[in-house]
Amino acid sequence: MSIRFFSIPNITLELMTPDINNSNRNFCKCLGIIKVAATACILLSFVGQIIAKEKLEIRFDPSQYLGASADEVMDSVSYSLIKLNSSDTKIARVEKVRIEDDHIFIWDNVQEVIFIFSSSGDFVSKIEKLPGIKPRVPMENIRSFIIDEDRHFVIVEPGLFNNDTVYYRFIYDGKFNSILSKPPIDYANFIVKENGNYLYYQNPVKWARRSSEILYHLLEYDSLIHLVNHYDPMDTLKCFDRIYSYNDNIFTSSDKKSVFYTDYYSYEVSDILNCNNILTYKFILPLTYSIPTKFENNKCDKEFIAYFLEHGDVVHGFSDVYRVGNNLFFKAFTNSSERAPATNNFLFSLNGNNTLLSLYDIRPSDISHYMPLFGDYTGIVSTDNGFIYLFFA
Amino acid sequence: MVLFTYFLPSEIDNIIHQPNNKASAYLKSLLRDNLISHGQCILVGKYHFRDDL
Repeated sequence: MSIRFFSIPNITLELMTPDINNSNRNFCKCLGIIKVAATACILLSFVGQIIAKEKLEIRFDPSQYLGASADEVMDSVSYSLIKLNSSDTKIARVEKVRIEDDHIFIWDNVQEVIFIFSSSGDFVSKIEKLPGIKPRVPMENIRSFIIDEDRHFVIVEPGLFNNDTVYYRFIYDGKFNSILSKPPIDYANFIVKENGNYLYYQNPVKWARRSSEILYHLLEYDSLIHLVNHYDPMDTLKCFDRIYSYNDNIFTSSDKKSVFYTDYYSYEVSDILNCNNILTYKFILPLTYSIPTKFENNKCDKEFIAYFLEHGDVVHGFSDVYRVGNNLFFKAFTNSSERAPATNNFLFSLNGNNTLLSLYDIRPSDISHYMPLFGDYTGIVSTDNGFIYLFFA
Repeated sequence: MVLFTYFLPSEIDNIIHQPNNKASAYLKSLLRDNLISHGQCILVGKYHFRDDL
């Protein structure tokens, strides 16, 4: 394992003292330098802050992994319950779960309802109506939610077919609190940063339709949705065509210690929570599993898609990335017909031992007979703050 | 360091009927004390992975 540091070149400005003979020429030169300085200042203020980038290379060979018994990799396993024994707790489908501050939040995306339970599993309340909204069709009521842990809010995003330009804030007992302005951007995935600001990822879909380039933006707003910073830490891709949608994998973890961003057909995963110091994990794969370099700048080519279909072992990218202490959990995407998707879930130890553990190959033992964490499309995941997050495809 | 997952009601019946293990023992004790009913709970598993792998 090696660590590389990337730095952004400093902009240095030369100070000139005009002499009498060449005063006009030097004056113009000075003016030019001042213009450059002013432009640089404007550019920097627009971009926000200079971003330090750090890369951690991970040698990942999908065929060289370890299995283990649950005893060998776990300290303990315990269980608790969420009780569904009242008429208020008829859940049709669990799309998203979070546990925070002694509360459990479950979003049912069929009924478009957010259920709230206490940490002991008892029903507390549910959010099923947004003030002033009378949904007429599915996907008009509630689209999703996030938790603002510091201020103890459930922030609810209205449905896809709802034209509202606001979010709705509820307190943990399900009571409506206030309306939060929505930033003037297209559909955006967002999180709450440790400082209480909102960090948005701007969906590139609309941009892609307009242009051959996709620009990824991270926009940080304060609690009043005033723009605080505009980060642009991602590379610009030259294509949009793709086999799989990775949209749901953006902001995969929200434990305030790491929020990961994954990219299309990329072996880089960036931890973007601390936008001023983005840590990127760069997976180095054997050639057999890698995207050939000839496709590096030509990822929308038909030949590129055909290559993937013919070479099932090639890794498309990474998803479901979570860092828990020294353990990095992730899922590798392949087209392999021989390997079930569930076998592509791994744990990589970041403590220097370079241990690569296949989560599918953790064997039941006395400590736990059940390791159902990693299905085809289901997974964990949570971290210290007690956060569960699953998707069912 | 902790990881969570959950088991839906449809999976819980299978777990209960498994031979002795922590999860089934936990569920059986709750059933025995009438604290839960079949198909009316979500089981949350809390896994502590070692940090020194």
